[in-house]
Amino acid sequence: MAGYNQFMFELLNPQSALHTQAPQAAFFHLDGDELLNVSLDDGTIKWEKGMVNDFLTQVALYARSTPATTIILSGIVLSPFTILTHLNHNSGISVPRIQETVNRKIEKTAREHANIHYFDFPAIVTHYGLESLVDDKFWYLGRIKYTNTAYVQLARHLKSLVDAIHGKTRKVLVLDLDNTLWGGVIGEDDLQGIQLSEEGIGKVYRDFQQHIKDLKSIGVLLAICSKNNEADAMEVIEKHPMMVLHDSDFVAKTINWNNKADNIRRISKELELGLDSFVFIDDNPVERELVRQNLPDVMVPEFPKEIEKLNKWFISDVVYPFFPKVILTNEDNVKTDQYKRNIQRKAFEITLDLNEYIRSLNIKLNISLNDKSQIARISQLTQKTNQFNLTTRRYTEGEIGQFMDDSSKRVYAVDYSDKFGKEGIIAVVIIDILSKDAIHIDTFLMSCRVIGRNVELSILESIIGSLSKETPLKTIQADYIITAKNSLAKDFYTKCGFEASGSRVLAKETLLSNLSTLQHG
Amino acid sequence: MADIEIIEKIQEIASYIFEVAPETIQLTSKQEDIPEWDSLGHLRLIMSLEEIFLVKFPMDIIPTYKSVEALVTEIKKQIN
Repeated sequence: MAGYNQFMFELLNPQSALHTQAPQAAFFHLDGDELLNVSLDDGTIKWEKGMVNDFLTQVALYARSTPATTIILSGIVLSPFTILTHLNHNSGISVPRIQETVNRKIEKTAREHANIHYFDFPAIVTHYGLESLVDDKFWYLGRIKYTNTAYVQLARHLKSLVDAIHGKTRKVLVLDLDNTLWGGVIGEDDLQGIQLSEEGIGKVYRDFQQHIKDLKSIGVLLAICSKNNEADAMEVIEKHPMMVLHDSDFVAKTINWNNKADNIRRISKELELGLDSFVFIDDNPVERELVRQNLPDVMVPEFPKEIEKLNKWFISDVVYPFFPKVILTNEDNVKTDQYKRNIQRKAFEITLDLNEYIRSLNIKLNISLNDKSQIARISQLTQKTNQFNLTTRRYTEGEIGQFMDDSSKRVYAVDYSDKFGKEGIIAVVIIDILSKDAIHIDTFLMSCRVIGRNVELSILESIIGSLSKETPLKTIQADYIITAKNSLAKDFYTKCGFEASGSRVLAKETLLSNLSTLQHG
Repeated sequence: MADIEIIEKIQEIASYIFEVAPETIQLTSKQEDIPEWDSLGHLRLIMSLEEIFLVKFPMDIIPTYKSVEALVTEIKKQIN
């Protein structure tokens, strides 16, 4: 709501709230018509190009001075209908192109700074239309730019973006089958009777499956939870020619007559993922309620009453709120494979004794130091790892980048592979150098995908070992900060020979000799 | 719609916007009696009433509705 001079003043004045309060997040939403002041002068179009450049320069400077602040820049929208009528696009004049140019500049600024993000306001306008978002009456009477509808949508989309930036996104989509992935009930209708096709209602379900498949390709895990005879359901999945989703797309399947809360709990155990990573979709309100009551951590959205709304509902009420993403990592594309290999490894596990098993995995660890190409994945791991995480400190990409430039900090990323394949970066360690012979372990975390293979011991040993080569260490400080989820990591430091002192554990010279006797993979 | 329903809805919306107890808003309430009913609050109230009752208040008259009763009268006129 601030005018041009006010937001520039906020950015330029070192005494302003923006500079003195170090906010967690700053959202810049600029009114395109007011900012750019597009006008026609002697047959040529004029607009305030300089203001856009000044604004973006100042935002970039601000972003660099406050790497811990998340900055969100809204794309601008210009009123599409003006006195220029069909001159737009048909002559050298094009107001829409000005909007494009400005938004490309904003996007570029966002891409060049880890802590700046682009907010797609033009997409909201395309979907809802300026007519329903802006009411001139309230603009002229009281400078209220938008309608209530507009503020609700701005708030929803902004929350989704902020959640994506902070890695607050769920990991598993659990799906019912009958009347959810296809129309009809396979136990009652036969294979030809269910609705799944290129026409009519059948096409609604086929499109739905395609959206789900796309979601899987960007790192969401899929599971089935259906009350059915397994053979009936598998017949559709394997034999129906219009199925988009196939057996191999799902990391877990519970097709039986048990209650769905128990089945979802079982999937959670199998994948070693907490129930607060789960979203459950079912057309049956009784099943939804049962899961809501028994597993309050699982998100269970309502299901649309009119089936033609299924696909729009899925994008706006499931994907945006629960699976938002602002960056793709290499790990995201292959996530389903990784979890499946893990299940294979587990099956393999039963037949061997543990040490034998770990040795037979041929684990290879590759530890990199301050590798900037890994900032996105490192930040993602600090945001998402809950179980084997000693301090659960969450860091944005901006903060990780800042640590890598700080000579008193070290950021290690650990790449894992074994005979089943590559897992990618699975562990992060952040060290504070306190003095020439003392360090503090700020962060030690490892993805639960590789838990139970003594990998954590090898990682700590290698990092302490390499730091000791630089300078002999006398003191290593480390914390274990208890949370609702990290009891798995509780004994890690004592197991490594650290001594407890209050909440902090201290290690002396004995650590290194202790470590070298520990077995590692 | 009966008067009582209109009043109850106004009560619900106005108390939410002004952040006051619902009973503060009565048919006899006037803008001058409720400090939270300032000029910005007034516009937000009018905007929400337009959405809820599917009515339109003319721009030049908006500043003159200075009581709950005036709002009820205008809404009744438009929806009946």
